[in-house]
Amino acid sequence: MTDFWHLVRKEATHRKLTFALCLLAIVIAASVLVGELTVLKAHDLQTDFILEEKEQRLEDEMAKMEDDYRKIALELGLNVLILPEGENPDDFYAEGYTSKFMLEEYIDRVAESNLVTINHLLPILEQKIRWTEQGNRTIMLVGTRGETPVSWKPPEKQKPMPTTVGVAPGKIVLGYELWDSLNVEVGDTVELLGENFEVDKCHSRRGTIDDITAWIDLGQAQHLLGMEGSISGIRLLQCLCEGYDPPTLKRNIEEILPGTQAILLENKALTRWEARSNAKAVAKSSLARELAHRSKLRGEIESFVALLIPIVSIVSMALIGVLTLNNVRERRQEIAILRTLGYRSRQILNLFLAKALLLGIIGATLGYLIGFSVALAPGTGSVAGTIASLFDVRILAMTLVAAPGMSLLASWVPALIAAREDPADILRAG
Amino acid sequence: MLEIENLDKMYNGPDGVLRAVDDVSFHVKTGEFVAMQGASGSGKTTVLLCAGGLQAPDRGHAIIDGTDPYRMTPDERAQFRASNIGFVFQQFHLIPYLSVIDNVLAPSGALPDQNVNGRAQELIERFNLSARADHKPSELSTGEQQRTAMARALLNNPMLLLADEPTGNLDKENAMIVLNYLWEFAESGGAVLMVTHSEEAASYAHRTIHLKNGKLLASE
Repeated sequence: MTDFWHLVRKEATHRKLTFALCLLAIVIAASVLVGELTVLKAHDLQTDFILEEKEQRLEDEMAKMEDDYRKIALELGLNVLILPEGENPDDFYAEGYTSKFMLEEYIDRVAESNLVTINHLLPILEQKIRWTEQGNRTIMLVGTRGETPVSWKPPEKQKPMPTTVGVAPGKIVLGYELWDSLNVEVGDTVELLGENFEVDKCHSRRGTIDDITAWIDLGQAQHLLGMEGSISGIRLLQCLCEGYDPPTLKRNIEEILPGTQAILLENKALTRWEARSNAKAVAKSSLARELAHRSKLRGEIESFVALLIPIVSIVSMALIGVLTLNNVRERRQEIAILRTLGYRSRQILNLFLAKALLLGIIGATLGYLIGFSVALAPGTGSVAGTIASLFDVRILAMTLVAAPGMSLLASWVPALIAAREDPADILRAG
Repeated sequence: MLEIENLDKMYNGPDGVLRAVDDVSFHVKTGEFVAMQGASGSGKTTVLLCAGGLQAPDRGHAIIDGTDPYRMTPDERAQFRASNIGFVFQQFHLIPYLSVIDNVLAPSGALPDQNVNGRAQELIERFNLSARADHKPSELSTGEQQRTAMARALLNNPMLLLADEPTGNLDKENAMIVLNYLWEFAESGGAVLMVTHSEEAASYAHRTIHLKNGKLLASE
């Protein structure tokens, strides 16, 4: 029995040139399809690779900066000034005292929170007053209770040398200009706002407002100023906030102390943190620019592919159509004799379509191999595991469907013409 | 076996309608070898094509073994042709890319359920083509090509053999071989209708019919 595919195969090998040209057309179309899609995939992989590499580099750099920051933050800590909400910090800096006040209990609230490791927690009550007993001269009165122990810190971790030592009730510490002009010394008694204080310490000249400042116990200062239970602000010095970035620390402080504003004071740690944040923003922006650039490039490749693939496909199909039509003309006698021998017109149609299918499958296979190989060549060498990562079963499947489909479509009309040939006309014509 | 009744066939040509066959009637009985002669354009080939179920007549009938193939669908007619009719042509019409054995087996593609490999081998031997079984038609002599065409025509055991100038391209020796095969086929119970210009070829037939301008002149 004559095998149907045997006929197809024998005819294909008999008219080698026609078969080869049809095959070439399909191979070109398939390899362009595969090549372009694989290049797009390679581009995507390379984009991922570049971005991952950059992100990794960024992460490494950020980790290093983070580490630097952490170290410096641990070493120096952040300094925070807490003022009543609405108090203009500029006025505070200019005048040296505040016009608004906050509750004294806020000191304990900060001390008992475990927001940060605070080395120095200093409540402030500062007011410029007239020292009526001393010729109405203007002085700065500071009420202090020294360092507030941070309750959650174990005793062995409490700062051994407080920055500011508290002043005992009934005692007074005087700045240089005050004790010098009053001609008093440690152990003497001075009257301030109607109360007597024993001079506990006389500071040497500092060249600052400290020289006209008098320090007394916070409670007595509140009493003298008629501000029981109130303070001007709190200084947090050397906050070792390992787990927080400065903005988070500020936000958290303002949350536990309603009606206050936390002002981060410029120091090396804050500068380092800002530098790190800026560097991160710049790096992220660079990543975004790279991604945009790669996306633009991909868009351009896509546009090219969207144009090239249809053109190549149409040209290939036209070529296959013309070659198949020519093949039908060459085979008119053969078609007539097969019809005479009893072949039905559908069988003639199938002979041509089977050949188209065979061409499509061989063309798809060769086209895939060629297209894939070509796509491997340029610019994809840097992608690890290139062949495995570029192989896409969907592209293979698409090629194995599209190429035979294209071949069948292009051969359809010539095959119909072949199937409709009238054997009597051909035989009579001789 | 073959009954041609009042057959008319017209063609549209450049000079208008041409009546190629005009009211032709004749019979070819089982076991009969009939030659059909006439000048070129007398309608011989048209009658043969109508008889072979390849060209529907405009009027009349071509009945084969009691069956009118033109009452069938095209697919049924193709099947009928494959099962009952063998064709031999002057130009041989072998398929150029198939070997002798594949050409002989070619009709089996129309009747795919039959296993005819043994029959093909038998025909190859009978027509003395064993040594050429794997050769392509282009590698054969004209006699061998026509013998291959004969073997192909007989593969499906047809009841009717239609031959159009089967010896037209053959030398005398090969022509005699082919004519003997046709005669043998008729003698073995088949029916043969052969178109020929050759008086010598016609002499092998049991009788000869003559056509002129599409009309049947006489039957000898």
